[in-house]
This record gives sequence, C-alpha cells and structure tokens, in this order.
Amino acid sequence: LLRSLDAELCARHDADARTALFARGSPERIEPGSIVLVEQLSSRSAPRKLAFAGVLLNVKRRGILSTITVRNYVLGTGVEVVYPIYSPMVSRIKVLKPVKPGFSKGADQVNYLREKPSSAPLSFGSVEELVIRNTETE
Amino acid sequence: MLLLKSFAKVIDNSGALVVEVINVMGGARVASLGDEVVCVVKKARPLASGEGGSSNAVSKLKKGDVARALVVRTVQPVRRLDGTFVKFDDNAVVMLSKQGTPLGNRVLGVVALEARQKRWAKIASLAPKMV
Repeated sequence: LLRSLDAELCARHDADARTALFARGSPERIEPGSIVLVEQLSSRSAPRKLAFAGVLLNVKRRGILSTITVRNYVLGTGVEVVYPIYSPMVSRIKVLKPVKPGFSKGADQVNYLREKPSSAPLSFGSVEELVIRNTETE
Repeated sequence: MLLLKSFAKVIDNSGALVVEVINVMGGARVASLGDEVVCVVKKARPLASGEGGSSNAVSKLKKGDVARALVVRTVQPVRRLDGTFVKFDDNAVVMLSKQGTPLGNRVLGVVALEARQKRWAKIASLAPKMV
C-alpha cells in the first residue's frame, strides 16, 4: 500500500520529468559528479528565484522524499545544499555539464569530493563559468 | 550549532578574527543560523597604532573583548521551511554591538539567508552573497 501511495505521490509531483533524471535505471539520469543548477522559489507568492549551482554530490533515493546534495564553493567557503527533488519550491533542476558516464561507478554518492575537490573530474572552479554561459543562452 | 566554547570565524572587518562563544542569547543551549551569541575575541587583527590613514571600522576589537555576534554560517546542516538543508564548511559570525547593529562596515564572505529572515536586514544588505 505504501509503495503505491509513494508512486502516486511521485507521479503527482513529478514536474518536468524529474523522476527520469534520478531514477536508477533511467537512460537520462544524472550521475553524481555532474554540474547541476537548481532553481528554487523563495516563496509561493514571490516570483523571485534563487539559483544554486554546483557539483552533484549524492542522490538519496527514498521515493517522494528523495533528495540531492549539491556542493559548490561560494566566495571561498564550501556550501552544500540538500534539495528534496519533488518539492514544488524547487522549480528547475538542470544539468549544466554531465560527468563522464562511469565516474561514480554506479554509486549514488561521491562524498569524498568534500575532502578531495581536486579529484573531481568537473572542477568546482568551472561551475561559475557554466552558470554565466547558461544565463547568457537563456 | 554553536554553543559554549565553540570557536567561530569572524567575517567582517571589526578587527576580530576568531571568537569563542560564551553565551547564546534567548536562553537556548545551541545557536544556529540567525541567532545572536555573546562571544569573546580569541584572536584579533593586530591594531596598527601608528597608521592614522584609512581605518575602515571605527571600533576595532582586540583580544579578550566581549561582544555580541550573529551566527551566519554553521557546519551543522540547517533545515529550511521548504525542506531544503544548507550547510557550510565552517562556522562564522558577524560581530554586533549591544544594540544589534554590525560593528564592522563590511562583510566578507557568504552569509546564510536566515540573516534576512530573522530581521537582520543590515547584515543582509552588507553581505556580498547569500545562500
């Protein structure tokens, strides 16, 4: 019963094919290590959007409560933000640059990038440039 | 999650560099993002006594000074009402006067959004980037 409830909730909140981005078997899934831009509404009434881009650190698959962690360095400090994928406040998840397939070897987590950012194939320094390029093309 | 004896980095130009928390305002045991703490300066920038010139902040804090501060970054993840969590790589504070206004006049570094949400508009306006 709970599984069917969960599936129904996911389907209902599955805005713009988000499930396909993170489902384990999906062909267009984003692999941890990719650079991702998440846009979030600050509140239901205010149209202002908060964007945060960074390296996708891990995907936690728990049905409707699935979350992704995105890490970036802002003004020298590392910041990690955890987003619930199916939240209506998260308006858009966009892949800015996918990592070479096979980087995470099927794992959901590449948390070691916290301690060793130099071993990231897509460096944290390139995130800002990708964001600027992305806003230019829009 | 700062409590008694926690060290935090100071990210404004009030002169202090590292502070130790000695009290959390409002009676809670733990201070999180956007909470006010009382702290003692453990390490401060050396006061350039001879240099008149351009000093940005009026009152420079020195080691041993007790002052209030606002927590703007915590390593402990903090849940926001929309279900997102935010966590930083260090604990950081911005020094405040007793009236609640910032002691420095520049904030250097990223600051959490909770600063604006919890009525600290002055610091939110000084912050170069908010996450």
